[in-house]
Amino acid sequence: MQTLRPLLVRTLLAVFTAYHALAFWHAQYPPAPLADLLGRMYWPSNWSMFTRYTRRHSRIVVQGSFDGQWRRLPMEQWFPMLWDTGYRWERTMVTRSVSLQRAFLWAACERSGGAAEVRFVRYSWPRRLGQMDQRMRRARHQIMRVWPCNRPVPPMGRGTLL
Amino acid sequence: MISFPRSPASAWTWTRVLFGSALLLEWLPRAAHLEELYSSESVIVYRPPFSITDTVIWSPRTAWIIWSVLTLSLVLLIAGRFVRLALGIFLATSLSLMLFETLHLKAYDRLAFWQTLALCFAPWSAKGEDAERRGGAARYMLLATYVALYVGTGFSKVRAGEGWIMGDALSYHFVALGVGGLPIGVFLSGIPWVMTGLAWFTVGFECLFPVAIWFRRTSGWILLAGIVFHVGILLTMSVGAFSLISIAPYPVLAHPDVWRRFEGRVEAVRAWIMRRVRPAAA
Repeated sequence: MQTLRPLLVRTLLAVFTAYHALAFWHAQYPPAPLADLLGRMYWPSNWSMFTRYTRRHSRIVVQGSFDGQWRRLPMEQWFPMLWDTGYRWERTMVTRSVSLQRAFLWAACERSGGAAEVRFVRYSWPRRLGQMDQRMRRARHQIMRVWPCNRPVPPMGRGTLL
Repeated sequence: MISFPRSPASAWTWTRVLFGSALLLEWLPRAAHLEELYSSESVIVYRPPFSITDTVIWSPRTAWIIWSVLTLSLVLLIAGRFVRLALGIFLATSLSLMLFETLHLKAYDRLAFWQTLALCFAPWSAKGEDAERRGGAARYMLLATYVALYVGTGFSKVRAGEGWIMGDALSYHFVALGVGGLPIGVFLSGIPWVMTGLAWFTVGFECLFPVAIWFRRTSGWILLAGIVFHVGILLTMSVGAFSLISIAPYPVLAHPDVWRRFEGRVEAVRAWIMRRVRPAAA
């Protein structure tokens, strides 16, 4: 055991190092056919932080349709947790995933008190360097997804309530 | 056989206290939104392969129990009681909450995961000289994690091109909704030459770290640059406890001789202050 232990520790360290090295390599040069699968595998050690940037702010507003009129729904009151890069429904992984968007749109349907449809609208406007005032001005908007409230979305997690 | 210099027990103690405190600062405020994020009251999402929501959904009561145990484990970690057990409990409880929520799982949460894993191998039960003979694996794991962290993000910035060369990327991050908007960052974002300098410093530090950290002559300097870098982030960007979590293991990352020299200087300053204070008190 005394001779095995150092060998075991060094093997573990080698695996640890190899994982981080492969994760780095994957982040820089993702192989096309397996990029998605490997991306998930190496995600715990993917450290591309603040690499990309945009010159525009972006906010996602949830609207509900009541008698044909679109009104803003108070998502910020229903789900107030604001964390670093925005609300949960504003995370890039949500804006890129239809199934994640549906989960939030259905939550908005359930709380809206009778909306016929709900939708995600993305507003974007220029960032102003050197200024504290970054209020929405000259905003563009884009309707990202509409969901009819008569089409229930099955829960994403099917785990047992504990 | 490869061998690595071991850190003195005091470096591990400093790391333990700093790391536990940084995590406590990060996890205490999460209580305000615990049910909204980590329980059946949340908008539940499932993101394979890391989500646990297809197996289990925490009720609000369970979420509170998990969070309380997590907090207790951090208090034990800071106090130096049952350290390895506290680290294990923190790892299990933090993962069970973060892998439930998944959307707000940040880079510093992942960093804390690797750090905790490494600290599980640290010589917590050893005393004095025995502690200095052990802990090589834990120190190496921390070094490997930090090399991957800094070279990963630094190299990505170099490859991203002009934005990080001219400083535009940093300027626009400083005024971003959410992560930006702090007065110092917003003020600096309007001065292009300062932003170019800061961008070069950032990329330079991140790309040099993986080389400089291994040598006794340079490890102290690169860690000093790291402290400047992380304090800069703390003053200019709202990214939670990222800076504090990142700096916490620096005492162990430093070459053991560098740490001992630093400790000696701190002790000399303390003794000088005591000499000045004592006559006044008398």
